[in-house]
Amino acid sequence: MTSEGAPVVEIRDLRVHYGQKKVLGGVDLRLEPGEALALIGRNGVGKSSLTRCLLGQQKPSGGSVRVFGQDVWRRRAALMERCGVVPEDGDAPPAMTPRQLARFSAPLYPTWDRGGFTARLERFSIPLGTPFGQLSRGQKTQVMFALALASSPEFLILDDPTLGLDAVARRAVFEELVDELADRGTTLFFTSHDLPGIESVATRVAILSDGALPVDEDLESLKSRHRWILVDEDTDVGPLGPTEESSFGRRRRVLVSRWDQEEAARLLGPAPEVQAASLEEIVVSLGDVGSGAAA
Amino acid sequence: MVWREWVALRYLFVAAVALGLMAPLAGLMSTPLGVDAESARDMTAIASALCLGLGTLGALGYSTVAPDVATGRLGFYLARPISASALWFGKLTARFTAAAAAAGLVLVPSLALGGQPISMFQLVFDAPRVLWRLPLHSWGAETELFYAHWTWFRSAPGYYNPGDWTALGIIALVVFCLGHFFGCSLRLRGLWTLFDVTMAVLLPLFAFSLFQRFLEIGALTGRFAALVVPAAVAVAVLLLGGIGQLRWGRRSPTRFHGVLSVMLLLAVGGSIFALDRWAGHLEDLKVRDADSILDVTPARQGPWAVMTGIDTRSGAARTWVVNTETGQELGLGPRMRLTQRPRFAAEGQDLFFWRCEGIIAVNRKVKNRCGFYHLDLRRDVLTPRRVPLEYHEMLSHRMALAPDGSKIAIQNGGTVLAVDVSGRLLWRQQLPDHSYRYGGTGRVLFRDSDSVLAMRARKRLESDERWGDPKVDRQQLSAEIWLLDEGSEPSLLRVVPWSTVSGTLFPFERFVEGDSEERSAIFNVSKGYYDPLVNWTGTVDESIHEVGVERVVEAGPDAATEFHSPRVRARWLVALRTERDLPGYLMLHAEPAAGTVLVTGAVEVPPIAGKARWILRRTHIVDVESKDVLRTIDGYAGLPLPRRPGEQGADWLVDNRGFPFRLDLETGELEPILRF
Repeated sequence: MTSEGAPVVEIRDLRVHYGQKKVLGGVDLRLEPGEALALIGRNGVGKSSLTRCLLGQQKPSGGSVRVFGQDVWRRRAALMERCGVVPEDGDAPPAMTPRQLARFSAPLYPTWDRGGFTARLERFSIPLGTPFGQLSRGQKTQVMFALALASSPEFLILDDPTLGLDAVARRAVFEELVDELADRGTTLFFTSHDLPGIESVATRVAILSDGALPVDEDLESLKSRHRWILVDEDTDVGPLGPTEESSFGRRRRVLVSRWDQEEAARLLGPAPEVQAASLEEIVVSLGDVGSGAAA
Repeated sequence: MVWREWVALRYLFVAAVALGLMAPLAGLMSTPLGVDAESARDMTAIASALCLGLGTLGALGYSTVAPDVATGRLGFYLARPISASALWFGKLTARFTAAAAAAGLVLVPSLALGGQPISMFQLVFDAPRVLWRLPLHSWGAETELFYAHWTWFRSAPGYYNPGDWTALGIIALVVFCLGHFFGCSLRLRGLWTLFDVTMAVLLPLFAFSLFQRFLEIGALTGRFAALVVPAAVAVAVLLLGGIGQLRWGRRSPTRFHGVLSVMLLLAVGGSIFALDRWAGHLEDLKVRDADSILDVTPARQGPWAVMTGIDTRSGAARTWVVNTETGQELGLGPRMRLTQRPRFAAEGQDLFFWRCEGIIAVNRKVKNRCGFYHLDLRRDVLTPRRVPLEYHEMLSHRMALAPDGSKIAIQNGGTVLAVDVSGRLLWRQQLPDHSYRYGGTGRVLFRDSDSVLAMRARKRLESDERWGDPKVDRQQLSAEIWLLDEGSEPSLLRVVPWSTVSGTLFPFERFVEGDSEERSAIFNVSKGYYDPLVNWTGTVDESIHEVGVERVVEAGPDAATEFHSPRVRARWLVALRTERDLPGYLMLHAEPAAGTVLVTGAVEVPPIAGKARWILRRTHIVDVESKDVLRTIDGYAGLPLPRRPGEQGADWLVDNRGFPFRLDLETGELEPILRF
């Protein structure tokens, strides 16, 4: 039973403990249809735990996780019909070939795209008849990716899909993602350490740190309020929220996190020297919160 | 799902084919060994098929889900719209069918060569059946029950004995379930493994402890349940519990393992707890709880009566000493049942009985579990008495209390001894040995306070020419009547023909006022159903020719015949049937008033129109002098021991459940003795 008009994901006060160790300490997250959220954070910070909770594969210690308005722990099987999943490690049965995997998966989804699956694997140059266990790590991810997309999902969940992929494979994955999002408007939730890739796909970024989400913001908004500025050594940029700076001669290069055109004009004059900041630069500037995410 | 599993198990089928090809090779190799080639081939094929099938099932049970959870591969299935039950049953179906198919593939080469390996199946099954029988001799009746079920499985009609296949199916389930249990326990090691090991030790111990309790209660059904129910519940949980593991455990190894462990604990522990409650109920069984009362023995004086009742569902029997005036029930221990009819001393305040705790298993040392007891009803004090008897003698003894209540005579086969009420041995006599003794059929009576009459049955084998084969032996039974006392050798008084059909020695005497000297009368009514032959009467030196015979009751098929001795002024009543082939019995019970006797006839009514077989009973109140049947009461019987006029219980009847009622001779109305 789907709740019409419900967000694709609604996480409230999500808590996950492993014994005495607290991994998630009250995460709130909401994802509307068509959004593409990238969850970044340091290794071991709880991204996979959050993803497993989101997939109904792990029971939260507290709080609730609803997908399409329904409790995903209770309604996992029904909800998975509308979801495509790419795990961190390719977990398909190693004895099965991609062709057999497709044959196994096809009856499970009413909107299975057999042609799309085959075409994608051909684009990735993956043989259909090789057992999954004999494929390289990148190929496994690409097969899982193809399986996920072939189900024509309304919601795509990717747990660090580019981990261990070479640059070419990584690019191919993100290109497929961009196409998918452009063509079908699929809602996307993914975790990744590939910040340039995230930048090309995500519309929103959330940073997981210390069991919470200190940053959860539209990517454009995040980037628009971060700017590199070149100022004199004695210029006061405090109101713009400097987060990182470097000096050369009598000039300083400062990354500010509260960029405002009018305030900048007042402080720096009518034509300040300004540069856009990359997501990686922004995340690194967040120090403990984001440094690991950029690793 | 099934197909996906079959793909993963494809190498199993290759192995099966390879193994199948080995069978013809075994046939070729057998010839030099002197074994029939075809039999060797077929035997090898069926044995290989069974080993591969069962071995595979064990391995497949081990690897059903636990390795997937351990390696994180279960996520692949959980990320798809597959329900827990579809996932579990898909795996189960695939694995069972794969094992069956692999076993079948092993047989194909032999079948193709014209063999009949399946016909060898029963032969293979006979081997474990022989092994199965071994514990029968060491573990008592409960294994008989197992064996009965096993036989039942095997006895189902049909070609290739489907009962064997059912038994094989059960074995397959158990093997698979054990595999799954060990898979979860070993592949998902952690604290739950420790828990599993602990429970695997404790739960069988609890079950066995329950078994012991049921053993001591004497509840055969309970004993069987204590062994089978927890095991069956464990198999059911292991078979169906995967759904719960997948539903509640999912990818977490700890939770996945824990769900199974908790389910096993709850289900198996719950069943043990339920059985424990049942055992407690049976141990604390009250008279009112009994489904039927098997025996009522009132004291000749006073309000006390001993009752033995049974819980028919469990087969547990208990004995109570009940005050029929106050309803007080004296506890004789929670696991108490009597193996012999108890004896009240004359005043009805001292009860002597033999007590054994539970049914005795063949292999158990029970020397201290049978004993002779004295219960002082004035003070409710139960005192064990040491009696110089071996344990096996206690189990099959006969006992009599002297008329003055001062001595007890005990007979066990050829041994007769007398003890006082404290258990002190007064004398012990050994009857001369004879071959072909017929065990368990002794009788003992006090002739007077000092001498004892003991009957010992014996049998000898005779050839019967009528069967056309002189080698065919028939048992010929006879009874020796011995007179024993202190200080003299046993003297054989008489040997009389005796038959198990006759109703055995009939110790009923009609009580004549002032004629108590005749207590020692012993009767033997041969062919007693319809032929009023009396071979011997109890004043020892009298014979049938000196005893008068007169029919005193005749009511339809029921009749009673009186024998009277002109010498000793005593008269004895013997119940006889008038119709030769009528099933059932006729018994004389009591003389509730002087000159009036109770005669009960019972007819076994065969099942009619789906109705179960039942016993039609009716009791006649008869005036001995006029030989009139004064009244007939349907559905009631008298107490099995005779009662003198005015004695406690002389006017008691029991209903179809064995509960006693007091009879009003005037009106024929019945009033319950016990009010619950």
